[in-house]
Amino acid sequence: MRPESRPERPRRAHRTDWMSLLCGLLFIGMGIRYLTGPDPDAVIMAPVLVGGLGFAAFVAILAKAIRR
Amino acid sequence: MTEAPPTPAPDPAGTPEPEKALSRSRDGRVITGVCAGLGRFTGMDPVLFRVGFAVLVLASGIGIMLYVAAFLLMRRPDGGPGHLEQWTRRLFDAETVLALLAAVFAFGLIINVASGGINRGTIVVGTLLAIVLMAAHARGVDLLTMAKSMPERATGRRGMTRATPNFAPFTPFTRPAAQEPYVPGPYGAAAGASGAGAPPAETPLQETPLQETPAPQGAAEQAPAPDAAATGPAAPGTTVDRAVDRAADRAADDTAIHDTIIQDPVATKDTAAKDTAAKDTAAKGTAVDDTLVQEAVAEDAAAPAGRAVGDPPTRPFESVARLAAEPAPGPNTPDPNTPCPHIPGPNTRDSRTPAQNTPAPNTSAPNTPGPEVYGAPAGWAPGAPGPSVSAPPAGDGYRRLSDLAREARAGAYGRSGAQDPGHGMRGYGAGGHGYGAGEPFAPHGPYTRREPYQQPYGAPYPPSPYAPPTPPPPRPAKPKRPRSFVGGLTICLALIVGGIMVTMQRTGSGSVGLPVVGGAVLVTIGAGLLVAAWFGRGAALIATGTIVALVLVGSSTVNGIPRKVGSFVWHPVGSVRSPGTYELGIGEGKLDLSDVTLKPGGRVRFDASVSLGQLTVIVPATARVEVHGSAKLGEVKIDHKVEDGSDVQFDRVLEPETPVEGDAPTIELHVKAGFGDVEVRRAA
Repeated sequence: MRPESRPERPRRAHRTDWMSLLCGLLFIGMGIRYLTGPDPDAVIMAPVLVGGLGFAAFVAILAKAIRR
Repeated sequence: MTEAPPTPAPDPAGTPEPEKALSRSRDGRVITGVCAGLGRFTGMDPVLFRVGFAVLVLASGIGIMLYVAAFLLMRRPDGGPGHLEQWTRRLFDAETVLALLAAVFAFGLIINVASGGINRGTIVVGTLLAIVLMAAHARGVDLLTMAKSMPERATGRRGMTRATPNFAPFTPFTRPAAQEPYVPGPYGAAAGASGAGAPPAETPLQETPLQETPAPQGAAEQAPAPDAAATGPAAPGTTVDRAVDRAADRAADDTAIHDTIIQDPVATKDTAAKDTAAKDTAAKGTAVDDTLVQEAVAEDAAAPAGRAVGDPPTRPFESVARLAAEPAPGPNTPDPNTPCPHIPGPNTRDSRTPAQNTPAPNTSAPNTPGPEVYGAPAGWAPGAPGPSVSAPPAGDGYRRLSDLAREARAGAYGRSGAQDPGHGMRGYGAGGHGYGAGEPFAPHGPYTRREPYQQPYGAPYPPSPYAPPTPPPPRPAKPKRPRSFVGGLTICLALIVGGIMVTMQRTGSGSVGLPVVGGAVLVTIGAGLLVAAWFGRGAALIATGTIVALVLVGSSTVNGIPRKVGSFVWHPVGSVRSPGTYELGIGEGKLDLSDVTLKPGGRVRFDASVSLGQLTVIVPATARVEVHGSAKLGEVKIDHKVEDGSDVQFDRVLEPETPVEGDAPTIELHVKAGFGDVEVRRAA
């Protein structure tokens, strides 16, 4: 007979890493852009990269603050 | 005893020399101290190493690679672990470091051979490698064995020490607790764990017979100790050695000396029971007069005031037997209240401590607290016999010295020992903390420091507002997160994808450049990051992806960034659009214009460039060619005429070799080389 008051196992689930998620999406988008078609303009891609990384970091910080 | 770790067999030729670490040197360094460290390690002039590195840098890029490898592998100038050792949490010995450097050197030679075949760089690198290997061989290095051991060294099975939590170079040194002999207590169970941690009780126990025995050697002159047992007929026969043997026996069974003396037939065989008969008789009584107690103690003038057993002897005349006589409720110590099987009767008891012997449960003496419990203070009794009054209860808020001593004992042994009534009686019977035995009344409390409110008491008193602020409890250590393989796996996958793309580029099956390769790698890293968002960790992948993305963005802005790597042959046929542009990043390129259809009198422009490598342009013999060649560092060769050096600019016009009807077509050719050679020649 299993005891009914079985102690629950500590939560081992991996919480969503928003930084990884958004950076991954950013890199995939940039990579596809470079794979297809002519080379994109660096004047556009550099702000996209920097802004995307910053946005991902911002969201990650927000998520951490909300969880705390 | 703990088993000693297996030590390597010593060198049969003699005692092995202490290992010499290969570290960078701060003295005489030029850049990072690598060459100075190598020179110090090998006993050679560091200039030789500097020249070698410089030659390798000029001959090919391997010099930089080798220098960086040496910088990472060698230890810090202060002997601390090097960068690679810190990253890998391993310590490499000097032999392994040199072997790995040689491997890097050989790897560079292989790269040279694979990229450019046998050329000048390869010859220089190969020659230097051969010199290095021969020098090592001349110094007694078995190169074959070293080469065979490389797989083991690379995988960490040999030549390196893995880090442990107590790995000295990575963790600060902490003094082992075993160095303090009195901390664990003389009766601690862990005291005899090892040789270094021999029971601290041995020392006082060995001193005991010397103090008890009136040896003529003067060993006992510190302690007057007119012990009845020692001064009896058996005492003259005892020697110091014998006494030491007895002490060893006593230490072996880890028993209080008081009981041991009784068990010892030598000491108690002819004990003068007559001297103690009256006291034994008195000891049987339920109420022992204070005078009697003090008289008994006066015989043992050196008996110290009681104190915690764990404290070290602080006075030279202090009888250690008295210390040991205090029962210690340790796990190996018999309960002092239990009847001792070796005690035949009251007549054989040690006469000097009737109060201690009294509470044996199998005797008629009741185990009642009273003046006998709070025995005579040994240090005070001879000079100042205490009043024979019963101890009045202390006022509220004040504590007696005896209470303090009891608390100290509780601190040393735990609360169970302190709460044991029999233990308290025995322990303090002879110790002399009793107030009723002459201790002055201290209505304002003892002049001793208050005990810190810590573990043994469980904070019985409220914390004082004037006490120093207690440090906050240390943060619980973060549980170590499990290792994640997503990052490494993704990076390996990205490398594979990039390699496949480069291979496709070289085989000509697709027209892919660096942006395409970088894009594929970036997509792979992004996919790995998506996985890492829910499984594993992605910090390394974010860093890698950022670097790749920056390189991609930068390569599209700066023309100097090579986009194509490898060997290329361009062979345009027929009419071509003008201007034709052919670019090569690193490698060898060949542009064959011999089959290009040219209109008579027409003018066509071609631009060809290489950043690092060699570029050859073949022009048709029927055309007039205006060549504008330039090179930052290298040579420009136009139809058997060569200009070389740095910032080479070589312009030349080649007239048609074969006569052409009408106007000869003109090819305007702009060839550029960053670091490398450019050659323009006629088709055969």
